[in-house]
This record gives sequence, structure tokens and C-alpha cells, in this order.
Amino acid sequence: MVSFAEILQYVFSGITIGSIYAMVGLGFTMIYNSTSIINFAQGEFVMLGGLIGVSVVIFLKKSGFGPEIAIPLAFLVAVGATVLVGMLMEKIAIEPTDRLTVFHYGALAVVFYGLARVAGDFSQVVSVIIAAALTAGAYLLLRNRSIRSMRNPSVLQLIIITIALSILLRGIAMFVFGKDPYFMSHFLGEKPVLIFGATMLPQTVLILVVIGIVVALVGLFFGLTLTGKAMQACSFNRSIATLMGINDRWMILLSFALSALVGAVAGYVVTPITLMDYDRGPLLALKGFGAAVLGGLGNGYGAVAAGFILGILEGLGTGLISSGYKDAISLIILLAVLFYRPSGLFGSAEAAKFKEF
Amino acid sequence: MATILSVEGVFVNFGGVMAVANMSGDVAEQSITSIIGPNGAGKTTLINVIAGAIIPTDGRVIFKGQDITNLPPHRVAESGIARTYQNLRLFKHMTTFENVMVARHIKTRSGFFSCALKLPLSRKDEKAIREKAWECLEFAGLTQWANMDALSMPFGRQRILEIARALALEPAVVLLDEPAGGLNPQETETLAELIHKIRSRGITVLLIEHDMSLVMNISDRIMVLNYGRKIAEGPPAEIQRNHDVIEAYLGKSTSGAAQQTSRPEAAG
Amino acid sequence: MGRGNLVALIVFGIIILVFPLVFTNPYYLRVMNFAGIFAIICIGLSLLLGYAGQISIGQAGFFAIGAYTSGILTAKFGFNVWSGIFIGIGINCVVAVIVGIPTLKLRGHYLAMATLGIGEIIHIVALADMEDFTKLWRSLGEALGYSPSALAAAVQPYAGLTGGPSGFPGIPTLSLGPWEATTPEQWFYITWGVVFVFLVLALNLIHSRIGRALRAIHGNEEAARAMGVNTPPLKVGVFVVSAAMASVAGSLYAHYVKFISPESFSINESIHFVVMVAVGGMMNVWGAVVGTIIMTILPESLRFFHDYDILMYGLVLLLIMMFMPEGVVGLAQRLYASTKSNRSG
Repeated sequence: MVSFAEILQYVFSGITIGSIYAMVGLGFTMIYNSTSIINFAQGEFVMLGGLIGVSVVIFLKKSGFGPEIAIPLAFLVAVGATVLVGMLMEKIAIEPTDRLTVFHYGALAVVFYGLARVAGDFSQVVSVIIAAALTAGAYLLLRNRSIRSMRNPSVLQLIIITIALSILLRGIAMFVFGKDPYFMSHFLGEKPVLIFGATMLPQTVLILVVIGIVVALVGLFFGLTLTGKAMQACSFNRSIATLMGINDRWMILLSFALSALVGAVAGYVVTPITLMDYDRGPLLALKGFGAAVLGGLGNGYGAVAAGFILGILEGLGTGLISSGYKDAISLIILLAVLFYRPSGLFGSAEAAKFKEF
Repeated sequence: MATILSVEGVFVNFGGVMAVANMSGDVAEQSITSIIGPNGAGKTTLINVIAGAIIPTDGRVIFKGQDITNLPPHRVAESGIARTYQNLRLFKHMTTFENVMVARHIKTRSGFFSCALKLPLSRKDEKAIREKAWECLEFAGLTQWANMDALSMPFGRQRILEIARALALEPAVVLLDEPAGGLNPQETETLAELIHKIRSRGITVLLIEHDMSLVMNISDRIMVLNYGRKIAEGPPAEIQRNHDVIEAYLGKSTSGAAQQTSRPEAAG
Repeated sequence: MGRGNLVALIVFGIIILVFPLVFTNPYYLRVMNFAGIFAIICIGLSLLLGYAGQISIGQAGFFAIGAYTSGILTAKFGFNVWSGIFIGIGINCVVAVIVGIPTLKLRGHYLAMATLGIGEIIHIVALADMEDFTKLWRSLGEALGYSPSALAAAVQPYAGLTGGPSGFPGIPTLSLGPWEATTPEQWFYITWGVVFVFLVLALNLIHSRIGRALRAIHGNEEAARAMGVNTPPLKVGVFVVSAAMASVAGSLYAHYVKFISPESFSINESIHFVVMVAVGGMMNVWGAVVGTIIMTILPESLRFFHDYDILMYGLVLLLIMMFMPEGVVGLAQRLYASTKSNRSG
């Protein structure tokens, strides 16, 4: 028979991975609430938080900074960078628009630069010039053209767009960071803490603390700040919110920024335990979505709780049943929720009915 | 004339809001019956109940002697009730002709195999579908635009198309939900003619409308709803004089004002 | 099915017949053979996605079941190749019905995620190795009250069936009596012949009452029901059709490469298929064929971008979905329609 200590051990291991699911689920919920979009690239925020974080830590340590400075600083850089990526994503590919914006031209310039360097094999300086010229040309050609297709993107269009963004981000990550997993040393050392006969890594404790702070801050943001309440209003009824003077485009941008933030935070703090590589995104997204749905799509706290539940169940499954099938556990739960209780554990059935696609 | 459709004690409760309360009424065969009332009176909800899109909290819908209250929409269509929509629900990415052909679906039986392999049964079905659907287009005067994308047509024609599509079901009763909404006077005139044509084919028409002149001119009988309840019923002339109806539309006012809005012949 | 489609079919048929005679390079033929196999899946997906409007990002699951069924039955149990193919179709149809009934009640993102999950579960089953398999049954046995070793011993012969992460080799090639498919040219005619047949069946279906009913469901599901269309069995039906097609593709794939591993059946593959249909044009079954060809050839020609291939793939997809969501074929249709109306003034 399995001892209590063993079970507790599995639970602890599940908490680590559960924290990622919780944050990914929270991220899904925030974007879904403000836009009714499911952002398939959610998992990539986690991946970026981890990979950028590790790279910056290594760079800082090489530059002579001690871990007390390197780790927090890298944290800020990684999360900040990922937030910028999330916002850029929204500006370029999600927001309905009639014309190409400065962000589109900026992205176009980067693409031209990349092509010049790789395909044309030009030097950096020449590539910049070529990119600038081509972008200017594109601007002159396209500045008065209206883009019918992005005026009111359909659900299917947005699904595939976020899938494309996920692939793109993975491609960029693979190019920049390579295919091998990155690892980071534990922030607080590796001496395990003993709890009720089972060991917990200090990193896991740190993860719980950090996640707790993030959830609390997000909760405060939505509950107490005017912006937070404005976002909630937007999620209930966007057209009426705009009539109240709320800038819905800002709200959507903010939701992407927040989603990226929580994802990146999770990615950064779990990398010491789980390692991180460029390809982690999709499966994390799928399971994080499971957490969001299990918690009741639209309910942020529910998503967080459900994420931990899923993680713990996965941990138990790995230990008690087998490790090869562990991914299937979350997926089966996801399917069960979608089929039999789409409102999830904590969501309302009424809300589930109204969220039409 | 005999009653072909009736609702008995229908209640519809939407999470605390009583959209329809104790609604009962009969529709006579081959009549043109209209349902009117201020916005939010529960008219579309009632149509949805009859058409099977909503299951009422209480009450029954009886059609040709059968209780159809709990039938799903496609079975209601099969039994002979067709409907149109207030906000138009034409099939996107399909032509006018194809939109009407879809309504012939229940009259045919060929399945996946038969259709994929173009077996004789599917060929026979296809021929029958096209013939009957074309007839409906002719009836509604839409043949000229048969191969146009349905949603690219002007709004008035789209409304007529939805009616033609409903007729392709060969229904005994057709439910029209605000078919004159957004139509100019000429188009409304054409619509009135079409409705008369439908009735002369032996089809019963149940009409929700806001356009009062249309309603008063073509209806045999009118039911008035307000806050989910029936507040009056009768032929057009009676309804026009009915104080409760006038109040419902215009609100409570001094009796002088109420008198002024009624038609001259009523004052005598 | 309309004159346009008939003409296109004739032209398509001629191209298929002539292609291997013109492009004799075995590399090109091999690339096109894979394109053909994927095109079969995409035609089914196009019916599901473009016509019925049901988002499925799990076709790799059906592809896998077809491939593994054919592979296991022929390589490990000595079944006849054709029995393998038909049993594969049968299994996939059963799975599609069982899975489809609850799944197709969902819509939009929920449906997409559910299909993603199902495809991935199938992938995980294929990926699991002997040890995982045995451990799973041991735990189940314990939970159910049997002695763990008894249940494990009972399923032992099935343990290594899928070959785990490394897959398994030794699948025989397609054969009919004494004849065996060996050269790339033969395989070209086989795969693209099947594409042609399925294309004809798909076009027949689209222009029939079933096809119109499916398109009506996509066009406006509520109105479709009000017009007498019983939507659930139709949705499950087209889902089964897409699964059957993917199954045939899987079986052909197994016999073509003679070695299968779970890598070829992951979430990424399912996404690839959706991308192929989207790029070609979702609303037109020819789009599935065109899109498959483009998205199979493109990565090959991007090979010299080697480190950037995923990046370029994502970029191309993003650009197409943002600026050309109707796909290549859709765009061509739009341009053709506008030049026609310009000419008639």
C-alpha cells in the first residue's frame, strides 16, 4: 500500500507543475473575459519567461553580478520582455483594424531585416538600410489601402491567428535559444524542507509564495482599481462599456499584457525545477485551458484553483499509475469537463450558456 | 373555421423574468392572425415556444390536435410549422436557390453514401428538391436572383427570401416574425400581397408585426400582448378602439388624450 | 456538381496522369507522395471545417489510428494489407462516433480544444512504452481488486504493440496478389488516385442535400434546425467521413514509409492539417488540395532556411490568416468574380 508520505510527495511534485497550469489558466481567463478569444499562444508566454530569464541570469552572472541581484533583475527583464511581446502580439494580429498600423510596419521592417540578413546574406548595416527602404516603400504603397480581412476577424480566423502566433514565437525562440532545454539553479538552494514526512524543495515553496502574491495582486487590481473594474465591465458587455467611456481597445491590450505577465512569472519561477525549452508551449496551453475550463471559464480564481487541482492529480497519477500516461490525465479531465459540465467547478451555468461563439 | 394551432397556459420564465405569462389563444385554420404589442411584450418568445426553440416553463402548444410543446425545432418543422426570423437568419455563403433548397431536406431521404456515390436515390431526390424549391422562388418572385449569394441581396429581398424558404417546407402554418421590419412602403405592399397569396394557398399565417397599417389591413384577428400577457383579442376594428391596447402603447394618460388617438368612427 | 468542377476534375486528372512522366526526379515524387497522403486527410478536414463549420484540430489522431492499425495488423499479426486498411477504417469510424457525439455538441473554442485533447490522447497512447503500459494495467488491476501481476500478465502480449516512442519498423508495402508497390511513380498514382476519388466523392456530397444541410449548419445552425435539419447526426456523420479519410491516409502512410513512430502524429501534425486547409481556402474543397501542395512544398523549399523553418512557417501562416483568410483558392475565386463583373460592366 502507498504511504501517506508517498502520497504527499506526489502532491508536492504536482504543486510545482500545477502552478504553471494555474497561471496559464488565469491568463486564458483574463484574455477570454475581455475578448472572448482563446489565446493559443498562452503557453509561449511561460516559455519566454523561462528562456529569457535564464539567458539574462547567465549574462548577469558572467558580468559579475551575484545571484541576489541577478535573479530579481532577470525576473524583471524576463517578465517585462514577455509583457511587451504579448502587447505587440495584440497590436499586430488580434486587434481589429482597418489599416496597417505603426506596429505592422515595425514588424515588417524586422522581417525585411531578417530576410536581408539570411536570404540575401548582407551585413548588418546594409540589411538595416534595405529594411528601411523596403518598409518605406511598403508604407507608400499600402497607406491608403483598407484591410477588409482584419476589420472584423471571425472566431476561426482568430483561432488560427493565435495558433500562427504560437508557431511564430516558438520559431523565434528556437532560433534565438536553440532546441536544448535551459536550466537555472534553484534560487534558494536545494536543501529540501521536510513537511509531514515528505520533502518539498525550497523552490516549490518560493513558487507558491510568488504565485500567491501574483494572484493577490491581480485580485486587488480587478477588485479595487478603477482600471480593473473597467476591464470587468468590458468583459460583461463591451458595447455598453464603451458607451460608459471605457476604451475597450486599451482594455484588451491590458488583458494581453496581464496574461503575458502571469505566464512569464510562472515560467521564470518553475524553470529551476522543470527546465524550459522552446517547445513547451502547446501542451502547457492545452492543460492550462483545461484548468481554465475546469475552474469555470471566466472565473480567474477558479482557474487558479483548478490549475493546482490538475497539477496535483497529475502528480498523483504519475506516482501511483505511470508516468507515460500522465499528460493524458489532464486531457481526460478537460474532456470530461467540456462534455459534462462546461461551467466547470466554480463557474455559473448561466454564464456558460451566454458565452456563445 | 377550425382551430389549427393553439397555446394553452404558456409560461416562460427566464431566470426570474416572466417573458410570457399565462398565454392562451387559438389560431383558426387558413386565417391571418397577428400578434402585436410593445417591445419586450414577449411576442418573439411566444413564437420561439411554438417553433420549438424554447421549452416553456409551463403550458402546452397544440398543433393539429397533437401536443408539440416539447418537440425540437426540426421536428416542429417536419410536422408542418415554418418560421422566419426578426433579425433574418439566412444561410451564409449560400445562394438564394440553395437557401430555399435546404428547406426540402426533410422531404428527402438520401444519406451520406447515396449522395457521395450519386446513387439513383440521391439523383431522384436532387431533381425533386430543385423542382419544388424553384416553384417557391417563382411564387415569391425571386427567380431572377436565384444564383446570387443570399446575403448580397438588398434587405427587402432577403426578407422575401426567408419567407420563400419557409414556404419550401410545405407548411400548414407559417410564423412570420416582424417581416416588415426595415421595409419601405412599397416593399411592405409587396409583402402584404405575398401574405395574401400564401393564405389563398391554404396556409395559415401567424404574424408578429409593428407596422400597424399592415396589421390592421390584412389581419382577420389580432392578439395584443403586453408584459408577457394577452391583454386583448379580436378583429382589427375592435382592437383599434380597445383602451387597454391604446394604454399599453401610449402609456396612461388623461382620458381626453386617449380619446383623441382612437379612430373617428369609434367616438360615436 | 457544376461545370466548373467537372472541368477542374478533368484537368486535375490529366495532371496526375502526366506528372510522373514529366517530373521523373524521385525526390520530387516522394515529396508529392507525402503531399498526396496529407491531401486525403485535408479533403476530409475541409468537409468538416469549411463546409460544416466544425473546428477539428485532432485529425492526427485518426491518422494515427489508421496507420497503427494497418502497421500492427500487417507487421505483427500477418494480416492482409487490405484487411488492415478496412479494419482501420472501421475502428476509426467507431471511435469517431463515440468521440463525436459528445464533442460535436460543443462549439467554437470549446470544440477546437476538445478535438485537440482527443488527438493528443491518441498520441500519448501511441507514445507510451511497454513499461508505462504494464504499470498502467498493474495500477488498474490493483484498483479493481485483482492481483496486479495477473492483469499485467494478461495484457503482456499487447504491451509493446505500438512500439513506444521509437515506433516500429517492418511494415510491408501495399500489395495486391503478386503485385507490390515499390517505385515512387507507383506510389504517386496510388496516393493521387485516391485523392482524385475522394475529391469526386466530396464534390458529389457537397452538391447534394447532405452537403447543403451541412453548409446550412455552418451558415446558421439555428435556422438550419428550424428548416427541418436534424443537426447532431449530420455533424457526427461528416466527422466520421473525415475520420475515415484520415484512416485511409494513415494506412497508406504506414505502407509507404514502412516504419511509423509517434512523432508523426502529434499536436503539431494536427495543426499542420488545419493550416493546409486554411491556406488553400477553407470554403472550397479544392483549397484543401492546393493548400496541402503549397504547405508541403514550402517547408521543403525553405530547407535552406533550416534554423528558421518553424519561424517562416508561422510567419507565412500569420500573414495568410490576417490578410488572405479566404485562402489561395478563395482569393482566386474573388478575383475571378470581380473580373467577370468588370467585363460585363
